[in-house]
Amino acid sequence: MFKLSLSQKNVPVLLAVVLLFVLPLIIRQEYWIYVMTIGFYYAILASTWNVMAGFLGRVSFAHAAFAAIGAYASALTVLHFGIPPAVGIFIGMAVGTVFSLFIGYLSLRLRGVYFTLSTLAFAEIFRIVVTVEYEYTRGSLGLETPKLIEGMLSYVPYYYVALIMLLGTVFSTYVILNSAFGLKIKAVGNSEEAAEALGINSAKVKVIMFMFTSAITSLAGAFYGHLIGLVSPEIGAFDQLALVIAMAVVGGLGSLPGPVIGALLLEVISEYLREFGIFRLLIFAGLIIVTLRFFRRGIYGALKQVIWRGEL
Amino acid sequence: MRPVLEVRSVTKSFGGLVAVNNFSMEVREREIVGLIGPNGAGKTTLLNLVTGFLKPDKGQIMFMGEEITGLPPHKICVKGVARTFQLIKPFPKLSILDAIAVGALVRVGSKAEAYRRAQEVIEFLGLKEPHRLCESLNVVEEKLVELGRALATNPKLLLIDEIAAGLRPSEVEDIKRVIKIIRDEYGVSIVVVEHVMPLVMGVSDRIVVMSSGSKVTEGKPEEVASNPKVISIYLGERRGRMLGVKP
Repeated sequence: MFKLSLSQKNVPVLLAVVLLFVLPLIIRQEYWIYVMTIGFYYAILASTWNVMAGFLGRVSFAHAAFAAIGAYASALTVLHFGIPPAVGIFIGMAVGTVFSLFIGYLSLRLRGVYFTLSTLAFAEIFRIVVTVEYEYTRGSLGLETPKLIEGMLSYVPYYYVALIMLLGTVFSTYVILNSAFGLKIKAVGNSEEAAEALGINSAKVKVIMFMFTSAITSLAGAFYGHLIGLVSPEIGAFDQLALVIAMAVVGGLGSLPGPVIGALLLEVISEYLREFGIFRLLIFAGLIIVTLRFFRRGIYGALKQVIWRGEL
Repeated sequence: MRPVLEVRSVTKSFGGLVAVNNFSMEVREREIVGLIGPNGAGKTTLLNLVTGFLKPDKGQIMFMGEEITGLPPHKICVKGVARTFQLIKPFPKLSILDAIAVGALVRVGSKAEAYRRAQEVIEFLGLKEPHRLCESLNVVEEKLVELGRALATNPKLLLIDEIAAGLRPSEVEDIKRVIKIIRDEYGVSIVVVEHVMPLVMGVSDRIVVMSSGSKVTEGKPEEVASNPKVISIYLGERRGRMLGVKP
């Protein structure tokens, strides 16, 4: 069913993967390894957000909220039931998937902006509930969680876990998009009505993909919680979502490598701009505008045009 | 013989406007039925009712003896009804091959098989360079892809909505030929909603005339064309009287 061909097109991708695998041996600074690990977390979020927005044309405002759901579900089960974080992150994933089924089933059957509005409302409700339910969540102070790998001081193992999760995300998305089901996804993304006239249950396609992307996002969020050791409403906050959207758009919507490139680049830039604090978002908003005005297909689209001279 | 499509006294209104009023018609096996009428007669609404994009207020729609009233569009397609859209709804970012393969996927599970079928349809329609994106096509090609997609779903009933609008006479002739071959080779029953008279008159076995949501008359193309009521609908009553036709 699936054939890997080592064509000219795959060489840069392969080189990039190899580079990411040997990078900790090159940079050797814990700080930058940590930054890259966080970058991988954002790359996962940007990639999955891009599946809904770039391929299905459905903008979710609950993407960061799903990461927070995963983080809280994992943190709470680990703290209350004493299970290891490595199991907890999968519970986070399961909880996120259940929530996405609920929201997707209710709002993805409607046309237009209802899905976006529903996700916005859901994200806000979730944030308020988490902040108010102080007894369980410690409100905006955040929950301290055990680290994923106990007693490990170096971030190198986290780096590789995050990298493998990212590669798994991109690869599974690639396989799905190139399957028969992927053709249906693209059809729904291009014209929902035409897809339905051709026998495609567009609501089902959208709900399945929303569950898929939310599952991965919750897993990534749960991992993130056990990486930084603190789960707070910040994980699901609007500025996090805005950052993820900026990454996907600047990198290149509707492509697979685009959001990854955008996420890693913006994460590194954002470290250099740390002193600007929340005003970094202004800079990223400016980047979105520049991207949409001058190169709509993002950095990846522009790169592709330069390297392959516009050939696909 | 059991009709392929039976529309039984269907009514659909939007607010106070009755778009389709107690309308009945049937389509028999391997028959090409032309559905004509002035703008706003309710032809496209009727098509939307049959394909599930709208739900009728009253009445029944039967396909192959089975009731399909109110089913969602994708289920009606699975049963064997395909359509094209008056305002075409292309897949701009898909290639011709992909777009048509999407249609085939309703019958086959594997992508390879879908591409094989799409290739057949592409050859049948004479589309060139199937790897071009749909956004780069001209009007004729866009309409052929729209038709090809529908055809790839392997329908028993094909509803074609104003495919000839905006085409040159020579292109209309090509489409006419294609519609006839679809019926003859694939054994499909076809409903042609059309304003372009050379097409609908040349291709239909039977013509149903609709006006203000109701059926005016039906019959063979030549009968319908000489029917005084039809002439007065199209040309207006005064013109009809001038031609010696009594309304």
